Amino acid sequence: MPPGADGAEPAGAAALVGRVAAPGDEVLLLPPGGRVAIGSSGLRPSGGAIVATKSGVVRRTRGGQLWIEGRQKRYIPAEGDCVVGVVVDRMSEHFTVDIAGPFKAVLPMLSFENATKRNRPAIYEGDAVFARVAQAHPDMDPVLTCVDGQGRASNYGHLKGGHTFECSCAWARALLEQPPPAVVAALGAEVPFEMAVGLNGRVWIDAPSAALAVRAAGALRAAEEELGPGGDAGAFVKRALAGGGAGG
Amino acid sequence: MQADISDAEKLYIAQGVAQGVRNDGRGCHDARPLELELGVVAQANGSARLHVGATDVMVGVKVSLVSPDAAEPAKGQVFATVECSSCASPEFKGRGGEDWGIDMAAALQSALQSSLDLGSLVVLAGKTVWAVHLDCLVLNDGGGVLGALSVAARAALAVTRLPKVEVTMGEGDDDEPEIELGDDSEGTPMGVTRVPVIVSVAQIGSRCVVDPSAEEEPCASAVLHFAVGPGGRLGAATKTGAGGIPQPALLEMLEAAQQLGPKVLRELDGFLAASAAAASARAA
Amino acid sequence: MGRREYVSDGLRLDGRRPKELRNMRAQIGVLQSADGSAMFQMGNTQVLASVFGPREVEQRSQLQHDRAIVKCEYAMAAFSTGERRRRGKTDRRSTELSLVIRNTLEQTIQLEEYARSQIDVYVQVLQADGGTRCACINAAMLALADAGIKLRDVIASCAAGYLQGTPLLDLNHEEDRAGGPDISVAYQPGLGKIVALQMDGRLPTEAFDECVQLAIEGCKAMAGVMRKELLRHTRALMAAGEDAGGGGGGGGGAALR
Repeated sequence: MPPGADGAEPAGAAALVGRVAAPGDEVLLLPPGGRVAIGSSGLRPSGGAIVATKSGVVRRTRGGQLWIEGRQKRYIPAEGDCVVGVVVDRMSEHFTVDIAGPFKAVLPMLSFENATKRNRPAIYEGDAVFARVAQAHPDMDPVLTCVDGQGRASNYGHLKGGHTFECSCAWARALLEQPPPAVVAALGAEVPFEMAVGLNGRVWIDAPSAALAVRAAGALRAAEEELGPGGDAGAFVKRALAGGGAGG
Repeated sequence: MQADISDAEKLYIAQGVAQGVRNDGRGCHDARPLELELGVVAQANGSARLHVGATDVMVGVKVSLVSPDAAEPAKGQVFATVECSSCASPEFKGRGGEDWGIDMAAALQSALQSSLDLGSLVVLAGKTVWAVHLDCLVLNDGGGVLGALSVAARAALAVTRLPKVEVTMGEGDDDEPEIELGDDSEGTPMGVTRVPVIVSVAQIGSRCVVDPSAEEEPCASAVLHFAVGPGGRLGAATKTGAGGIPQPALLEMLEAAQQLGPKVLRELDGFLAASAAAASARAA
Repeated sequence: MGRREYVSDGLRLDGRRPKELRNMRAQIGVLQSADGSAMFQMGNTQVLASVFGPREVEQRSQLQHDRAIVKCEYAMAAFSTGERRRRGKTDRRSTELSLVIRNTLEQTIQLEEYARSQIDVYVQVLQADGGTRCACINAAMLALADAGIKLRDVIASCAAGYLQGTPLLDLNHEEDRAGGPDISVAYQPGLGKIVALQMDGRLPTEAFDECVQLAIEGCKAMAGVMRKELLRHTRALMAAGEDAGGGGGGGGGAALR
């Protein structure tokens, strides 16, 4: 842990990082001097201390910010997150998209590559889309976009065909880490597949046949709980792909 | 929270089924494993909680003495209710889920009325009979709820003991007989061997799958629910869903249900026997 | 027939001492569909709670621009009481209890963090043997924590009664039926605040203070049990996700400079 820039690190701050806290637990006694800024991170000031407001592990960013990493199921959108959503409504200027968060998201018609007022994307209710959260302000519905900073599609957009499964937000985040969990590579060695991971806990997957995609999704989903860190990913994937279907 | 599933996904589940693969890895004729707990409600005469995949149901049985129905003085009474707990989904808050509950309760009640020996529930002919109340609670809808309820109901009835009753006849003809209730522990079990389980068979595309999950149910054009007793005896059947079923498919679905029903019954009875043996071993 | 003895030789009908709680059990994350769920058991009283949200408000007229609204529904299973009874979700008792639970939770949730949204809390009594009101609040609190809803503090609820000159902690149904006074309290141990209090029956003023104090002690003990279960559950979840690479990106935080 790098110490605070000016060395005025409050005593005990380093010790509590990595500890589990419950709501109401005092995480840190405020130092007599210095400044403390609070964001919406599961911590709040109360009296002379910083108190946890949800259960989770106390973490610290490289910048020295303390926050609580929880494991709640519901996705809370954050700017820059990639998400897999389902279009629930097509309006004149935008799509309304369910991203499994507290609010439906808005995806403007023009936020697609080469989209113009006359050339609207051919996406309709019930379609799945892969998009990036462009704005996530607590006072507004989140806004999505299907283009990157240069206005290119770069993999965002309509997810045609394929199979979506739900998983915990933590597992989705893990699937996006570099390098990804061993199960992804092991699966790739067995089945050619395409995958779009949404940080909202939805993963879209496509493979040459529906049966393969369904099995590959099953393997990826099961790996979260059943494949330990030291487990043999290759054997796990082979078992998952071979399993089931016998009675049909 | 169950999110909306996209049309593409529905198509995919259907395609998977067409190729003999279900999204949880099961084969088309495989049911999900049962996870059963007995005696979960201290205040009930018999109770059970069942997890089948994501589906979670609870059944409590309470018996009481009532006067018989005037039309059927020599029969005991069986009632079933099904409540969908709002804990399962905001859809069930207020009066939500009430119609569905009534529907399922009717299916359970008719299955029980035709399979329990109602004559054995008579305490005093024409005067006093047992009323058996079966109250069901749906705590999570992960598909195949009716089937799960029927299994839990059979389990709860199997562990129910009718309290011992002592009847003292009055001296004169007009005196009301006195009825004294004994302890639950020395009561008599109810005969549940003929009680059926309900097997749901969903038609997805041109194939049929048993015990559909919550993801599969919206993909099904129609679902048939068969009450299947020991030996594959068919008790009742109802159809739900918007689509029609071609006649040849109907026979295939019936056959699947008649194969699965006895299997489920065997699994359940094996569990009940094992837990009864464990209980008597503890008591000894 | 003489008066029934509720405490004899320092022991109550169920063998507890006057200031002893019943056995408690808490389980977190018990339902699959809910955003948060928990089961709380005190003796034979058993309550299930689930939380959905924060989500979009259902009736736009109720939308609050600066805070979340909380909806609460209380239901009792037909088999939960000694005498079988099927009651609606909208009878007087259910409505009153829903209101009490909602009011208590509203004082605990950081509502301003969830502007424009709705948080649904559903409690389902599976077994009722005295103290259902308190068990409901405890179960709901655990379900909120499981859902990751930001809370000012943990909250715990416990009741105390006064029978035959003795203050009794955590009444069961039999003691409750004796008709003596009964005080239920919901308490935030970290903030030291009583957020809900209800007393039924008449009670001498001196005894009132004693009973409230006793109920608060009970709340503290319960909060301890609940906190322990929350920490245990969080650790188990974290351990499961550890090889998934934990850490990852973090939102804004309390920056220490």
